[in-house]
Amino acid sequence: MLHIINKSPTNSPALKQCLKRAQQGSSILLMEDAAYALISKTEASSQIKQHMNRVSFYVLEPDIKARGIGEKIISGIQRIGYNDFVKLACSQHPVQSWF
Amino acid sequence: MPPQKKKFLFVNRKAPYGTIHAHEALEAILTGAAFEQRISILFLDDGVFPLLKEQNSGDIGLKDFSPTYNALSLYGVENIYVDEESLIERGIASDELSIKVELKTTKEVCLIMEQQDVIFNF
Amino acid sequence: MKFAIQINQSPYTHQSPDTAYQFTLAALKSGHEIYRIFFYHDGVLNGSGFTTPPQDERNVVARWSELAEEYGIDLVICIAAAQRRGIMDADEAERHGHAASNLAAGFRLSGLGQLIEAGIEADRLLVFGG
Repeated sequence: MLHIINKSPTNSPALKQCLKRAQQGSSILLMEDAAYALISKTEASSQIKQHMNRVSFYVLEPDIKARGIGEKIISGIQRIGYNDFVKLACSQHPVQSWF
Repeated sequence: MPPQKKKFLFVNRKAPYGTIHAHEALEAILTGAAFEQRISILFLDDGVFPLLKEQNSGDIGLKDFSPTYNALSLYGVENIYVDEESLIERGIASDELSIKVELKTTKEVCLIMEQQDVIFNF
Repeated sequence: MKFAIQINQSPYTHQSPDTAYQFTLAALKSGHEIYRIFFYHDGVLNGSGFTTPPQDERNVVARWSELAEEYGIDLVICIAAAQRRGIMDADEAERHGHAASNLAAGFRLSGLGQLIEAGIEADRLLVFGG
């Protein structure tokens, strides 16, 4: 299953709510303001780290770049473009957007 | 041979009135019911608030759509699920809900989501 | 693969119509089919033909129209949401006594059933924004 989040973790509970329900083997794509969740040494990114062994995390690279946080994000996240987003959507199903 | 029915899950995660989402979810479910698919609804997170009894939206000038939830079973909706933890977090007891629902644990909610063909998000 | 896309938010305030556009373009260019894009809630403003951004800025609405023309994709605006937000094709405008219509080229108005039907016909439904 693919989970999509587009909200900042400091302004919205969407990330927390999603992490609670994401099953082993599912994928989470962070896009738009959800990219901020990956900034290292934050509550959000440490929560993400705790789930990394069971869930695959992806982020849209163009959103990282636009926001100037490319050097600040935790490792172990797959940074993808729109073509890989399409591939991800092909390989996972169903899709839940948390907004 | 007729095409196989799909498993549709409508996930309602929003409170009523503050935004249109809960109301629209209901409209979409009623529309979806006419297509004769296998329909379930999940009330999750703030999405449990629209199920409270005794709503009276007259003074805010918006339509109270909550009575329509009573009609869901008539429309052939197979399952009406509520995430139990969402109720607890929001100080709501199950007898405060306006319709009969199936309470589900977090683990069960995860499985319900995984088992769908299509999820409609509200 | 056949994708159905749902867009919930208005352009220019939210990024989600831009992300949805980039996804759609990437999917089409990789040979996938976009069965339908359904514009819902404030997302119906993506079909406002009077949209006139400054010249050096992207035109979100015209971009959809061009995509529809080039790839023949079905752009459906939720009619109930559109009526509430003042998006009308010529027939609707006349029926409601408005002086002009504003539905952009390549879009059509229809009901929520189009979203449900897209869920039945497509392999995937992706929802952007909300």
